[in-house]
Amino acid sequence: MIAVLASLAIGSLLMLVVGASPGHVWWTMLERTASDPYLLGQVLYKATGLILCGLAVSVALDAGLFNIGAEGQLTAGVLACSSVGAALPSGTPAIVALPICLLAAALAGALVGALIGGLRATRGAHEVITSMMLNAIVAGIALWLGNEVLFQGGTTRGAAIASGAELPELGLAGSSANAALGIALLAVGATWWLRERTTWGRAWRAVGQDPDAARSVGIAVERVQTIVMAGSGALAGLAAANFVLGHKHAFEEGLGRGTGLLGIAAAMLGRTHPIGIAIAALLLGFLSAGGLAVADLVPKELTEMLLGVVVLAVVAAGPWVARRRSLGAA
Amino acid sequence: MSRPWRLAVAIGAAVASGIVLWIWQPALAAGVFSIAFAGQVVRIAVPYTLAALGGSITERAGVVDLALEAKLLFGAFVAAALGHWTGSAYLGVLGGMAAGMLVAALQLFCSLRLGANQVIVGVTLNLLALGGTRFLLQLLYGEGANSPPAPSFEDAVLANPLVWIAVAAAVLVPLAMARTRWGLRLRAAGDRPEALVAVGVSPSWARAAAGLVGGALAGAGGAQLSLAVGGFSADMSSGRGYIAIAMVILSGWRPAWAALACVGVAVAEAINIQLQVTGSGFPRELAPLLPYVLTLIVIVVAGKRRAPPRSLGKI
Repeated sequence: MIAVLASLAIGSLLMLVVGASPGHVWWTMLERTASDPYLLGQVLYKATGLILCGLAVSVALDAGLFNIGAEGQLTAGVLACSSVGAALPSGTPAIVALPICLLAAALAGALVGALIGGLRATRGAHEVITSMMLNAIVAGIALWLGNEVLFQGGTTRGAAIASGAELPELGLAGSSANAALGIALLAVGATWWLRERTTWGRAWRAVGQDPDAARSVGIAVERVQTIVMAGSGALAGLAAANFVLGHKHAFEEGLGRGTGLLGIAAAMLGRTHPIGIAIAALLLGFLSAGGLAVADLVPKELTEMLLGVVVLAVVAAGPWVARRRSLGAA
Repeated sequence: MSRPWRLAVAIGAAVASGIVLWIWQPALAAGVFSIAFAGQVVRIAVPYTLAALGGSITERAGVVDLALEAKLLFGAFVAAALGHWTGSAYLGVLGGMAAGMLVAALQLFCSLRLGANQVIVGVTLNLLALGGTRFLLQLLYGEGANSPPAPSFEDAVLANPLVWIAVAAAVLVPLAMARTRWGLRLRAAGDRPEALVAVGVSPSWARAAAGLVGGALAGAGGAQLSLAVGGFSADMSSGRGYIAIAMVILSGWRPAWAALACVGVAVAEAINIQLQVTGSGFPRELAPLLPYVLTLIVIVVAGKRRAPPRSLGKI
């Protein structure tokens, strides 16, 4: 709460700096988004990707790992999903095509995630560093593959996927919102169930809270870390469904870029709770789609900066409040 | 493998790859074994080296320094902005250092005073610097991608003060860390904060004293990024801070070795530029990945050999 208030205050301050009236901007942002089904749809479209990437980051965070590689895992997912989708014969029915494409996206992301987790488990390599390197490497490889084989004559767009693999749009005034939102919400449910209701989820969070204690009660810490990172990568890879299957229906250079990094923000805002993340993703989706809606009043860079401020406020305020409380109780 | 062996293997591999290069790509080899190439390596190495030295200081004092990327980026921005405003590249350098210290101060405040997770604070600051510099570009110059031209050191090597700052830092930081009271206190803050408390020194202040110096060095590294090309462009640090901190860890938190490792990264990057100039068959999309792949391979091969400072990340 403090964090949100602080961010609102800092955001208003920033608006004053660029010479706009804060109250007017906030209100216009809300009003324009709420009254325009297209913008609402765009909020949902952005939120879908953010939910999955936010879950990816938070699942890893629960196990004490900081996965900033969601960006690379998402790109790997986009690449795999669109290549497989385009390779399918055009008459493939949806019941076959969809699962195959989703599986390809999740597997590609999981592979990158497992690599990060495995390096951490076997070589003690810091996951933040390896995931950052892999983000750059995956992006470079995707661009190379695109230029070499995928892009269709002079464009930065690959061949279209089989029509059976397309996810239907939600029909919000031609916006990009699509049925991948359902997949994201399913993922929220599944993650919540795993995390709260299974012994497996217990083990995974125990590793995050205190790896030494977890080891002493017989949890194979390294194995859990690798598996969790693979799962985290799969979630980020699944976000490709939103961009490829639901919207663009093909591989495109830079598709979904930035969603993986913003996913970190969603995970922080949602305090690693699956439902919290869904709400946080909606809020962030609103900020970035709403930021465009008020582009005539404030520059869109302001919302970008605001996102950073929000996350920093959340990150810093949490422990501070906890400390205050424990001091008060003592 | 014992240490002399490892060194021998490394030197052998370097010589062998040089010979292979000569036979396989004579044009590229001619470019690589030249004075101009050496100058290029130095210019590329400066930001990496300064960031890694700054990171070594901060981490040895017990604070996880994943905010190097933010310090480079913000340092680059302020250096260019101040250089543009005053017309002096030297003032730009000072501005870059101040910017690095500012980021460090924010980082230290959040992690030491507020007690936030240091890894998360670092990555968040990097995000904030990315958005913040774009916002400031828009605010000051009405354009979100590039700053107006700033004075530049261009291709100068010996006349570039940042090269000398980097060389001096590479010599002085290890010395100061080993031999001065400041160095002793910062190592104590990282390894045995109890000992500092016992002699009546606050570990937090010792960490702050170290972290601010580290921030200034990383900020100077950022200044090289923008002042070498005479202007700032969004996201111009492009992951260098992460590579620098990887080198700190790989070097076992020993600043002199970290600086040396950074020169290695710079050689890889300069070879990649040569590859693009000579236009070999190597895909141009993959060539820029060389430093990242190299770092990853070194991490995998070297693994974790030396322990980090005992109290790293704890307050």
